[in-house]
Amino acid sequence: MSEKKKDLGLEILKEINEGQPKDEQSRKPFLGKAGIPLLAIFTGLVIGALLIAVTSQSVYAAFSESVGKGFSAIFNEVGTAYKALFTSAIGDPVRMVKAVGGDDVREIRQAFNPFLESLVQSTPYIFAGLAVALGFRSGLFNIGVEGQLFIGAACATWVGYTVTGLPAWIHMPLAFLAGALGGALWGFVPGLLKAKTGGHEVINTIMMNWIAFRLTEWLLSGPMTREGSGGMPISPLIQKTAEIPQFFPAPIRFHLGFFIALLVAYLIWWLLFKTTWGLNLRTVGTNPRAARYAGLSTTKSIIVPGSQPQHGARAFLGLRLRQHCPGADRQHPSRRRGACFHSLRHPAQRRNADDGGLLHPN
Amino acid sequence: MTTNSRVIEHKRVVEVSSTRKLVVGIVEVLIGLLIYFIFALKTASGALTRFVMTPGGIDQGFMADWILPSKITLTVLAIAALLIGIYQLIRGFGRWTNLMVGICALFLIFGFLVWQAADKQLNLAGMLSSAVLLAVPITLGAFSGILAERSGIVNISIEGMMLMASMVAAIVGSVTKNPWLGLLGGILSSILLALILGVLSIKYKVNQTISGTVINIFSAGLTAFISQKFLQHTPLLNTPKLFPRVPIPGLASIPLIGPILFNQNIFVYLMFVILIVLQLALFETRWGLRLRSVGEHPKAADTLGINVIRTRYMGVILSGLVAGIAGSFFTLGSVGRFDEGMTAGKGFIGLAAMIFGNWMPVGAIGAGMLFGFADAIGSKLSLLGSAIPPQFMAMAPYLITMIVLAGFIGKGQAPAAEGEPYEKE
Amino acid sequence: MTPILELKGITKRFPGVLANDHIDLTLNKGEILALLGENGAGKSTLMNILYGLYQPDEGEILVNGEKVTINSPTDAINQGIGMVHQHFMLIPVFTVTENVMLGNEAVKQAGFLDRKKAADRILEISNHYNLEVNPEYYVRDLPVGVQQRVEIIKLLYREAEILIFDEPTAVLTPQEADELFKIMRSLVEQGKSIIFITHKLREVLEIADRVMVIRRGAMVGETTPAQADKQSLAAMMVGREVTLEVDRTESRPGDLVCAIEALTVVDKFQNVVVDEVSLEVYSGEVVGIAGVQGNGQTELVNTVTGLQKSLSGKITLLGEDVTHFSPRQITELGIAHVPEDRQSDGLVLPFPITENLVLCSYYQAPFAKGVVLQYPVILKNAEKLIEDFDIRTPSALTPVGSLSGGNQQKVIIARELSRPIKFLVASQPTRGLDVGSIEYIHKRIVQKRDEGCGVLLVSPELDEIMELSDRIAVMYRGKIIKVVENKGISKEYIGLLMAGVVPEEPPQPGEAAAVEVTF
Repeated sequence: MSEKKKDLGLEILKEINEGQPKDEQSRKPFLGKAGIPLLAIFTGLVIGALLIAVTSQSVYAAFSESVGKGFSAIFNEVGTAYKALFTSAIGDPVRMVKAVGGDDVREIRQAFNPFLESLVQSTPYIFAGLAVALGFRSGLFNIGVEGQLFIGAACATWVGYTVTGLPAWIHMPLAFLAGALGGALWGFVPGLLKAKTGGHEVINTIMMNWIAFRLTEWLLSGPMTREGSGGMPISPLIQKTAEIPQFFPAPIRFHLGFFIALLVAYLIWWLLFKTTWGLNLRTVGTNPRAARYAGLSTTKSIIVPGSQPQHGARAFLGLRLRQHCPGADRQHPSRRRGACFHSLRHPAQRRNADDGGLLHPN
Repeated sequence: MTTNSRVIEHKRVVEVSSTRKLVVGIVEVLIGLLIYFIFALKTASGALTRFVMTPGGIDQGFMADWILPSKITLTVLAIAALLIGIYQLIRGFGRWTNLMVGICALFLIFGFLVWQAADKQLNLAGMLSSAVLLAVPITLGAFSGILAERSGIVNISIEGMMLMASMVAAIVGSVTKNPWLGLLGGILSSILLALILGVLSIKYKVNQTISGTVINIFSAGLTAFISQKFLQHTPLLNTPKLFPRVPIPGLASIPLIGPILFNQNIFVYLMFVILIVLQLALFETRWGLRLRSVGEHPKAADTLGINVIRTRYMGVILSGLVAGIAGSFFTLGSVGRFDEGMTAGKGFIGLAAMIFGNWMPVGAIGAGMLFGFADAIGSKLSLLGSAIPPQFMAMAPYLITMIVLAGFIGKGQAPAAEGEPYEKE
Repeated sequence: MTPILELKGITKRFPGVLANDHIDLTLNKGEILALLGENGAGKSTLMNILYGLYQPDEGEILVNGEKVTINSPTDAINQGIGMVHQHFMLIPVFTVTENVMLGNEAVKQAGFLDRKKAADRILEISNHYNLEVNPEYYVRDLPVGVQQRVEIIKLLYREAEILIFDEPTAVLTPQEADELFKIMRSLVEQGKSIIFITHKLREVLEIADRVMVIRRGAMVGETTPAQADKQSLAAMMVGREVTLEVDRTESRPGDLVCAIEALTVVDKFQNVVVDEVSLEVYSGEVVGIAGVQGNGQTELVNTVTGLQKSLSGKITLLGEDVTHFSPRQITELGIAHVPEDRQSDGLVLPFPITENLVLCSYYQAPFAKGVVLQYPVILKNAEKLIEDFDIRTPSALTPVGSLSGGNQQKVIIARELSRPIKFLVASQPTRGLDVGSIEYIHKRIVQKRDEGCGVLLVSPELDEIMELSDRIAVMYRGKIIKVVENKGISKEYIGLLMAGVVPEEPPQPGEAAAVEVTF
């Protein structure tokens, strides 16, 4: 029995590429391509509502009075929660309309800030989603974006605060590049192990995550610690020149990074579907044996994507974390583990459209 | 006609491949050099290393301390490793190669300890005793993996099952004030997750790595949520009673071995009981034969009237059961409280132990002990005030796992049908 | 006398296919009934219904005149029906005893296995039917012929009365097949009844008592070997007159295109799988490599095409030393390779036909400018080849995975033969295809030869080798033990070579093999 038979990436690709029998598509044409992600969001909201209901004191209190009151309490709780979710993600529509009607520029900005803030928040997810999607396309289940992120952030931060005297247009990209290299290095190791030894990339990337947590913990409490931090694992602030330019004054954080993310998403789509490099990579990802047969370099293709787009994600997050919430790393690294798993879900839900959850390839 | 059952004789070039022979030899020589140049040369010549051979807090099975001249011991170890390496490079050990690698690795670890504890004292027995304890979740995780994979299901969600079980065990144990009920609760929660894995990967034939990962994420998310929402504010929910140490009469008073193996809590004994039962059941009973057949060639099993689907469900559920015990260990057998993410990758390390142990319970426990020992060294050395940052020592198990997965130490034989959903066509 | 088995009006539909269409079949006690049909005619479906792996949509099954329902293999076993599957249902890492007793284990108390008891029983069966199988060996260590006997023992251990053999000779040498036929004879003499599924005409004529022919899911006729010959059986099977032989003119060998010198290849366990092989192929000739599967043919082909590294030896293609070339370098020299396993090596199934047709040349002009793929050119190329090679597909953008096996193979043939090539390596180019596709692909290969291309053909089907080759090299346990001109030599002679026996004098066609083979 061939070893390749159990190739995980291959299996995933098969499932993604072939997993939609035609009859199933014709059964629910009204959902179309957006169907699965929409369904996923809906399911998420329903399960979230259930959790809110089950874990709210007021609901229990209301139920002990009467069933009707109980249900209305559930509606109250869930309604409040989701309203808050909506207004803080998109903005308060009433306030937005009012602000647009008025002529206070500051008020307009602030009314729309929740939406802009959402874009800011989504930026790292776009990058991370791209990282995972590219991994998928090359047949790798890159579950280690989290660790790659930590290392990339550390690298970008280090360049961000140690290098001085450079103009911003060099320093910022340089920090980006450093983060990219760090993330790439971290993605390279499991990629190499997979290509050369067949080591299971899911386990390896998770092991790399843990090593990254320990390493950054050590860095932030030792070589990279901020003076006077009192033993807190926190790095010095990065230079002004390494910060990503923002569009609006202080409280609004919306910045260039979001557009960089869009650009990278487009670039990756173009690379994957319009170039020889992309065809090579997709072939290796879908059927490594055929790729070998056709003379494609399997090893190279497995390793390269293992590192490629993490670029952005790492560098970007690295800068962002330190720039705007320097305290983010104060927490124990294991606390923050959720973030990347979220980004992992993106491409899976979106059937791995290679846009990190933004565009569709056709 | 001569005898029919002739074995196909394939010509073989060499017993052990030449590159492997070379690599192994070089590694062994390097170990020797490392012990000499890093450890021995940096040790003062009069220094003594004192190993305490009785773990703390023990009232039976005493053994006198072990005092070694540090430099001489290290030099001897270095020479021995060098000689093994040189012999390996020149002649090769053939089928004893792996054993010799293991011995050299032991020399390295032992040498490291002698060096670190030069002019100090180190409780070696205590370290071994805690190694056994630390090995429990890893070994049980490996057993859990064996049960699932021998039936053909890759269970990558052992980590998630353990995490869930550790939380549920903490809550149930705290509320009922009874560790046994806590254990039961932990096991049940883990079995529930195993059932989900089973339904996803057996019934709906979802890719097993994906369904396993989904369970891991779900588990991490839910335990974090409950922990933040309830456990951190309500200590009543998170103070389970620990299982006490239970010395086994007679055996516990054997010097060294007694305190390490026979004066532990129920989880250690459970580990050994499961080891024996599993090893026998897998290879000597009808149940085991059928389970393994389903993992090797489900279609063949099906044509002989074995219910593949049911057997796989059984494998997965038993896997969940063992993972549940492993998870409960964290809160009921070790820490006494649930913390977010407290399994810290032990489930995955358990999978590595399973692979290292060649999908055999006996092998898995050996590998589990190795990982446990690596863990114990890390925690003990930071107490000793070693110069090596504790974070680096903590990386050791993860690094070893990756090395094991890469197959540098040699690859075993995985069940042939593992990871493939069974379709009746 | 009531027949031991009767099938009445068995019908089975799969989405889009009528696999079995009201099939009637009777099997009498103590006879060998051959079920003849092409690949995909519905033989296997019928037998899987009989064995309880599928449920029929209509129809009934009678065993000894009584109506039975067979919902699972267990039911079939209980009715005394057993099956030797084409792909052995054996677990390599289990011993013979474990394989045989699985599902029907001899146990002591508490479910502990009684291996001794089962082994004794196996020895008893083995001796009774002269099967000579050692119950203590691991199956992975047994030769294929013996593995098949283990399968037979599995049935006898369960006291099966009706034995179904599904394409049992596919993996055997002609001599091993003869050995199997002897065993089958002795089984029916002792009162067992056998259904023998095959698509090989020669075997039907040799062993069957009665022949039923199945075509496109329907039973199209019944005959006996006495009343039929190869031509008439083939016509029944395919539904039209078929030419069993390809028109082949005398070869005109030209330049040396491929020279293999003392090539040795080892597998990952350091077993020698190709053992000092030397072979030459000239332009304008077909060299066929005959041999039972697993005797090093795959590795030889993989090494020649650069997919596998050799331990020692030298390969020269078109005058260049390619021993350390990568597959791409070899392809660029003008070498084509039709791989053994089309689905896993030759194609990327989820990709459209367009991309599969440029799998080896997508990076070159005109398909790419720099790194940018020229999709309009790729599409035009595909449309032309679909036309030229008669690939039946709804569109050029259809994923290859949704084509039939024959059309998938045509995609590979189109891709490989449309390039300007001087040397073609074809590994089992017609495996599992229907007669129409086989004819087509054979014609294309011979056409390539006539254009002056050298061809290295590997196939375990001796018929195919003898039909297409100008010279035949026989491989056995990694060695090429003989290279002969394909002129006036007999199948038996090649068969002996395939079993590793080198006869003194090539016997003439029709003459019986002079050497007793020992296994």
